[in-house]
Amino acid sequence: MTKAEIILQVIIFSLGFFYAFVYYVRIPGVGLQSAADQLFTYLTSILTAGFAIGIINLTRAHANNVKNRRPIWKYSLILLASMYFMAVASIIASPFSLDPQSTVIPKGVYAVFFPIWQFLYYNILVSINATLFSLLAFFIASAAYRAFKARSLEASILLAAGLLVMIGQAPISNLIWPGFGAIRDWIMAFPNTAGQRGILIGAALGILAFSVRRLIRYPWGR
Amino acid sequence: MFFTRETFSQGPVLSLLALILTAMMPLAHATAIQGTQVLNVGPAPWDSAQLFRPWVIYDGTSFTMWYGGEDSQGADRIGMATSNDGISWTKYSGKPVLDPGTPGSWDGDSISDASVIKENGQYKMWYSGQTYGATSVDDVFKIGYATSPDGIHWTRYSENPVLTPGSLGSWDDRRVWRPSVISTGSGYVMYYRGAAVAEGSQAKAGVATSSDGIHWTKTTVLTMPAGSSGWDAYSRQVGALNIGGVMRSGNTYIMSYSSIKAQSSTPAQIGVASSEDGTNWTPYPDNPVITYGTSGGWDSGPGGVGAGNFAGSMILAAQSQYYVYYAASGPTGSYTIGVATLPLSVYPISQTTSTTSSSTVSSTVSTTSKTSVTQQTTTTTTPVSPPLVLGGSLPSLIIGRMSQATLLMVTLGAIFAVTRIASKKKLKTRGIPGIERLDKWIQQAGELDRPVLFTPGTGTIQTPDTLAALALLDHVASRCAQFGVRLIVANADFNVHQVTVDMVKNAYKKAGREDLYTEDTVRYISVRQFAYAAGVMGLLRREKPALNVFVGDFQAEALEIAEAGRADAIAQFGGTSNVDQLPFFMATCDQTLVGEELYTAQGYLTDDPQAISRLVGPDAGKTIAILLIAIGAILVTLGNHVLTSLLRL
Repeated sequence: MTKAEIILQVIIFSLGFFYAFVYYVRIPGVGLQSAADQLFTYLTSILTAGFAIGIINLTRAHANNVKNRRPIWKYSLILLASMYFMAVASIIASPFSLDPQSTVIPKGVYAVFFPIWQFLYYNILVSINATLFSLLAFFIASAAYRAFKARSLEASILLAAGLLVMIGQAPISNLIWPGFGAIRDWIMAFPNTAGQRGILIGAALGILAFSVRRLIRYPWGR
Repeated sequence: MFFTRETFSQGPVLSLLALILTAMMPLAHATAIQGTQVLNVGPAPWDSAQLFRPWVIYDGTSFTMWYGGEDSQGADRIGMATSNDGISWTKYSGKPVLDPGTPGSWDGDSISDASVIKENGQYKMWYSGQTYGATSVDDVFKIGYATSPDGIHWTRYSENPVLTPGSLGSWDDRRVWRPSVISTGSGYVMYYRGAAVAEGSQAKAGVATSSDGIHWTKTTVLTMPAGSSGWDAYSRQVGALNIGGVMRSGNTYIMSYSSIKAQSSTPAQIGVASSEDGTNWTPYPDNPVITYGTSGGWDSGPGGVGAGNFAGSMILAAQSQYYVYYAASGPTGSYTIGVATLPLSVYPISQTTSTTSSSTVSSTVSTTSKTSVTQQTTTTTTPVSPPLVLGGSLPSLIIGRMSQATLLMVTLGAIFAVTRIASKKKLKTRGIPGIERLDKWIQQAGELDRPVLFTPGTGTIQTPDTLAALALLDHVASRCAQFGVRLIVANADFNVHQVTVDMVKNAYKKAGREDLYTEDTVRYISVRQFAYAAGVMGLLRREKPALNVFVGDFQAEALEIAEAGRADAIAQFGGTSNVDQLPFFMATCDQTLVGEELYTAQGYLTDDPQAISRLVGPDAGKTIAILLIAIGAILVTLGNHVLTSLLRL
């Protein structure tokens, strides 16, 4: 480890140990929790400042696309224009502009930008978001089709369990045979729950060992 | 390794035993239901952002709701809606029925949390008023009173607020809010949330009584008992009681409240409790009754159902069933209103089995009176009923979190002891079937002169799965540099982005291939879930990578990305511990790391004896966990809760 890495490691370990200590130990009259809260607020502020790095990277990557006239440069131009326009509109339409003295943003400017921002956000961004989310229905269908091919014993069990749960979930299942609902409930409550808990317990222990490794060993992956 | 797939396939008896034991663990009850969204935001601007705690009354033929609505600037107002069936609602006229007070007044910034009763043809409302502080922690909440002849046109009581925070040092000296008022015939009882300034204190529920609805006397504080297990474990650990609403049916009081199981990553659920006197409460044995939704649904937000400052619940009996109305956050974090109905025949809430302790304690309670414009506060010593007991009477041998800390230390000690012993021996791993293909795919990408795409998902730098993905990125970047393969990293979190830039640069530098690193190598896409999905799908289509390493924290966007890769016949190496997304990974990826495999993958990808020895350590933890589960399950089956109580499960 280099000197810089050792210093960094000491900081990481001290902070990690401090937060764990505050979580488990409460000393009356000593404001450890308050100190931890303030430190966390400070860290959150630093992390938020990192947003600028992301914006810079995005700008550079797409500005290069435009500059070098790469095949997708027109999309990059649209992305940059909409990103910066939306950023400006959001800042103007944000609560910062609502100070009673109107010293930050003049009310006239706010009155112009707020409806535009509202339109862009609710009528474009929210709609596009919903569209992409809706596409999931088709992706689930194609993934399920592949998963349910009975190519092996495991896949056949999956197919059988999947069919029983789907039939049990369908409103008509009760008319065909009332037992479908009970089978569905049993599959979901026992094998499914047990399997999920096995994964969760394993993952939790993995996280525990991994977290301690991260606390005492800075370089990633060693 | 106990939980690797190889062991499962080789040891059916062990697998079956583990499945039975884990299924027996006393976790959340399976019968909790999900509600249906009944009121959404907008279209009027005043409630276009979020909707908060509803209050509904039923007059025998129709339902009327008052609810909190928030505009895009964060100010809350109270609106009204009507319904014939309690499910389909029509909002009143596109405007609120009660606005915040004059600027600078006690309710001048925001109002919400209406509680309404109708008496002698007059509507009476109690509501929370808010003034903003320097930060949200400093916001002040008080409770006011208003009357109306029609539920639409309200007149505030001239000497509002009628209930204020207690004197400094009392349990509710920071704020009081979310009133829930019931009429007793001769007067009124108000249940409300209260919070203290004191460090580490949790919001509890207070009870106040009044003969006229205006002059209130605080009588009792209800809190959760220390020591617990089950769905409301964390709430009981810290004594927090997130009261929703209280109704009275005959001589029985019924309360809805929200609780969580652990401090983080466990959305709140709603339970109900009943009482014969309004002070000593018994929970419904099969709580929770209402749970949160799955990914993408109206109630699938991280907060869960009925939780948050203004997002409480309320319960109403009408048409032979209980209607529980509540606010829940959706995938975008915005709150809207839903309802769950509980048939009286299925949920005999008042027919509970356990009872609360009956000891009487003395406590100092502040009594406020509104006899003049200037509020007078006196302090008296009054006998107070015992605190609320929810969820049985498990023994609590160790107070606080010391039992968890002890278990953690024992587990860590075992992990390190075993790791140390193992590091002195030459060990061979059974391996995760197919994991060695990762290096081969990277090599093949070099031969095909196509890049490798690494997508760590939408988690933040604080998400464990993302951190594990970064550890794997270290390996992938090293191999890419070794084989001269172009690597593309697509990030959703800007802090993860900074770390990955540093890691990939270092990996190329160590291999002497700095020439391979360009500004396009590590890319920031978007913090928004589906914008990120669209960006990665675009990269898959344009860059035509030979391999998509697809590990980390993913939500619904995972399937879209993976299916796009699958459609272009790109080799996909996936991994996550999110059990909701794992089935999609299994269906779409050529190789998937399941749960803890994501955290141990590095050990399997190397010949370094030190790294291999670190795989053995967590097995000691797993052994302890399995033993505790087995012993705990047997003890609980026999009716003994000592172990679960000791570990605060």
